[in-house]
Amino acid sequence: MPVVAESLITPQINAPHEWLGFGSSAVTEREQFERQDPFVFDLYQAYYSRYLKELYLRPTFDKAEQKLNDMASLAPNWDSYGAQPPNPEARVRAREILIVLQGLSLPPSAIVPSSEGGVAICFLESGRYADIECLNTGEILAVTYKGKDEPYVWDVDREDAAVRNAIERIRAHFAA
Amino acid sequence: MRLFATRLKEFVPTSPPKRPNRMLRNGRVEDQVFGDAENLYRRYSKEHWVGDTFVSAGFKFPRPSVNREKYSQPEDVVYSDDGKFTGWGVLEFRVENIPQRLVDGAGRPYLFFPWHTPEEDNYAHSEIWCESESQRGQHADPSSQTKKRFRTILSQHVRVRIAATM
Repeated sequence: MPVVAESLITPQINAPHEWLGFGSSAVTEREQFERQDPFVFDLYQAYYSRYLKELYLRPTFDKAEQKLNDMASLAPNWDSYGAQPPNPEARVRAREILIVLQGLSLPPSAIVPSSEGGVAICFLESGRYADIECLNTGEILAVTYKGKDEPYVWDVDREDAAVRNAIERIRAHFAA
Repeated sequence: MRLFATRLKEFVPTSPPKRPNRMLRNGRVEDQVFGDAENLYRRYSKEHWVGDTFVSAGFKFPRPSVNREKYSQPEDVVYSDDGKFTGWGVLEFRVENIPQRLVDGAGRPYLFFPWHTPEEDNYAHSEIWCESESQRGQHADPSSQTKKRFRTILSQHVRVRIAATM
C-alpha cells in the first residue's frame, strides 16, 4: 500500500469508530455529539464516509499495486511481438498515478503492460473508455473515447496538478 | 495383440503439427495489393481485453506485425514449431479500419497503410507502415500523441477471431 495513501487513511479511522459501533447507547452519544457541535459532526461524517469508501476500494488498489509489481518480472518480448517490459520509470509514474487515484476514490478497471513499452491504467464504464499510459520514454499520454468515436488524446505532464487535471477530465468523460 | 492395441491407444502424438504449406514463401514475390475488406490478423493475450474493449496498449508502433487474410488463415498467427504461442488468441481487423491519414498537433499529416513483408516461413506476414505525407518512401516517426491515436483507432475496430486462453 502506498505511503501517501496510508497517511490519508490513518487519521480518519479512529475518531468515528469511537462513537460508531458501540451499539444502542452509542446512538445517544452520537446525538449529543451532533447537537453540541454540528460542524465537527459533519466533518466526522465526511471523514467516515470517505473512510468507508477507501475501505471498500482498498482491495482494488491493492490488486492494481500487485499487478504493477508483477510487471517488474516481465521478460523482453512478453507480447510475442518484441515489446519491452515496463521500465522502473514507467512503473514509478504509474504508481504515483495510482496513489492520486486512490486519494480521489477513482479505481481503475485494469492496469496492463503496454506493447509500446510502459504501463496503461485503464477505465471502462458503459461503453466509455479512458486510459493513462506511462511510457518507458517518461512520457504520459491519456485518451478518452466512446464506442467508435474519434478518440481524444493528450499529453499529461508529470506534475501532480497535471495528473489530477487528467484524472478530472477522465471523470468528466464518464459523467457526461 | 489386443492388449498391445489398447496400450498403443494410450499414447498421444507429441510431435508438433507440421507448418502448413500455405505459410511457406516458396519463392513467391511480394504482393502489395490489399483490398479494403481484407482482414489482418494479430496475436493477443487476454489481459489486453478490458471488459468488451481491446485496449490500445495491446498495439505497438512502429510497424505492428500482422498476417494478411489473402494468404493465410487466422490460426497461422499462433502457429509455431515449439508451441510457444499456445493459449494466445487471434484478433482481426480490416484494412479499411487502419486510419489512412492522421494530422498531428503541428498540422503535419501522416499516412498509414499495410505493407506486405513476407518471411520465408510466413509468406502472409505484413506490417502497417507510416510515412509523412511530405516525405513519401521513408518511414516516419510521428509524435507519441499521434502514435497513440493510431493505436487507439485500431484497437476500436478489432474483433476476436480465436479466443485467447492466457
